[in-house]
Amino acid sequence: MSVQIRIERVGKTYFGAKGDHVALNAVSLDVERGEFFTLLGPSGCGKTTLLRILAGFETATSGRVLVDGVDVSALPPEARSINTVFQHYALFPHMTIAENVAFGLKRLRRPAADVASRTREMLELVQMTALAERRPTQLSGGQQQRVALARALAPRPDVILLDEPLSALDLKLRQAMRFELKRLQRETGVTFIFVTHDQDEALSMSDRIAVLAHGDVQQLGTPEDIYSRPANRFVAQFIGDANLLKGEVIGVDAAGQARCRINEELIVLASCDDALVVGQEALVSARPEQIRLLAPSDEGAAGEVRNVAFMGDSSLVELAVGEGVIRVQTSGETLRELGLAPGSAVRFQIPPLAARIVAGQ
Amino acid sequence: MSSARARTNRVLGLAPVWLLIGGLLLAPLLLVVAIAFTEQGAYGGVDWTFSGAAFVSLLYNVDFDGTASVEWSYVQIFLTSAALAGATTAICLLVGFPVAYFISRQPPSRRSVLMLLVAIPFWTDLLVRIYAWMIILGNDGLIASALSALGAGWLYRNILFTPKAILLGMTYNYLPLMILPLCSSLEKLDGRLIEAAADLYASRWSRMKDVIIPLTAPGIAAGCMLVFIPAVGDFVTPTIIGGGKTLLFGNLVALQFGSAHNWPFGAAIAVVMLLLIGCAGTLPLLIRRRLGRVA
Repeated sequence: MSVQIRIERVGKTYFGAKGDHVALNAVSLDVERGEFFTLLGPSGCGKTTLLRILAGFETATSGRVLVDGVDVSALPPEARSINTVFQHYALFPHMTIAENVAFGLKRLRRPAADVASRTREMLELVQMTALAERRPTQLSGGQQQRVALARALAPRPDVILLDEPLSALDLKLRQAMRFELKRLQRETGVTFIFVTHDQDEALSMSDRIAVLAHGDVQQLGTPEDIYSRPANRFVAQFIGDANLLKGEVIGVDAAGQARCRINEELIVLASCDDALVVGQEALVSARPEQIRLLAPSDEGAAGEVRNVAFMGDSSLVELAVGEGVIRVQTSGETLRELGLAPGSAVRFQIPPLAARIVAGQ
Repeated sequence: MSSARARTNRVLGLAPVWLLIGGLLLAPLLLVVAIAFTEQGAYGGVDWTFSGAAFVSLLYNVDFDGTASVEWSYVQIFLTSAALAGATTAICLLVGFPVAYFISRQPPSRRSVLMLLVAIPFWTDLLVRIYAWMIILGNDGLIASALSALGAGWLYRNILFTPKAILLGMTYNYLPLMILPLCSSLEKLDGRLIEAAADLYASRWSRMKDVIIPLTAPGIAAGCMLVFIPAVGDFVTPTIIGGGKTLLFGNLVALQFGSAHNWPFGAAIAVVMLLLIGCAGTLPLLIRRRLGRVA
């Protein structure tokens, strides 16, 4: 693997009469060739701005973008070998599906025979051959989505940018399209840079994820990394569900483990990266599905059930612990065995190293 | 029973519309057609006997002995009118499109102000606006005095009372009629489509030719019709800043109903003009049909 796109301290500030708005704060990222790379963050985090800078629709206020070592910062979109799948597809309504797919190839002045064969190939790839002569308005959302992909892939760009491409689809289709996108990326080997605010999409498709917030990269890593070793409080809360527990460090060992006292009964062995000092305060993140519920007679910290929410494949139990609340995801089986209902007493355990210290202070 | 009453109500309810269309639109038009097929009255007005003479005289000069020779002067007037109106339309389109594009890409609040500015000339009378051009263009007008004040008076060529002045005047008059429909069409154009075209390697020119123009074709057609139709029949502009030297369709018709006292001939010209413009008017409909449901 080699670095294909290098984003070097790219910043973007919108200057306005009502004050300046910083959308990106000197972001640096490397994207490798053939990677499925995701920019994940809430709306307004700067992910779309970064994507538009990569496409060439906007110019960065500072920093530069290199593609295969060449600075493309000053190039207009039509001079970049980067194609975009737009959020609402932006298919040309006055052209047929085949004409839409052929658009980029024709602008590149490819011979007519090549245009025709490549268009056919792309329509086959996304299984839209039968509808080649239709207009975009005659297609469903999912079909338009496939056409938009085929159109972006047809000119064989170095990179494909996808701007929340699944957000306009309904749930079932969205889930099916995740596999479809992944398949297309694998088959074509093209680098995908995917923008989304949906953590499930990001976790299920990406090779690597950059979590963005407030114009900064909060964490960069594999989905596994980001889920189980959130770098800070924001990532822990944004990716999946997390209980954030305030505690005191009572012991540290060399292997990046710390013992943390949350309250008199609850002492957690958590992993950490930072150098911690015994006696300092720490914020511990524990995923609801990692906490184990036990019978009141077992050993563990005590809590009282406040609420039980049935979620189909599992249930979410809200425990009152001391002054705080801890959410625990548990199976229906455990729920029945322990006979849990609002008001019942219960004990729970956070298994060693299931938790993570996300902030030192 | 109730359905019969509903039908009666519907007919009665629509009656004002029919009266309006029939009384104010259709009847005068039929009257013009009727007059075109009468004979010229000896002392003005018309002689109500059926005759096709007015139409014949558009193309043929009939001598007293009954021999007919082809008369080209009216055909030429028509061609001059069509050429001037066509040139006006083309210039309005070339000037108006960039203006409309600029306006349509502004934020909505500024957009409405700019559109108002485009429409402001309509608040004053057409005659006043045309006389204003005489003041600007004349021998001791604004341009001439400004140039001579700069010592460049020799640069000045008086175009007043020439077809160039008519072209200038009509372009000025009808430009808003081009800009406004173009604006409303360009406003609806999704900016992301232009970005998508750029993203797919389309040059500036290709984005214009392959995306923007096809998607705003209905607006372009509407603007062209709105400019061409009044321009081809305009008689105020040619009379005033054309000095009446260039005879156009509009002047010709006005002349027949005025000093020439030849109503049937004037009506015949009007009918022919109506038919020709009617044919031209179906063009945008054809374009729209060809583009299907895309608007």
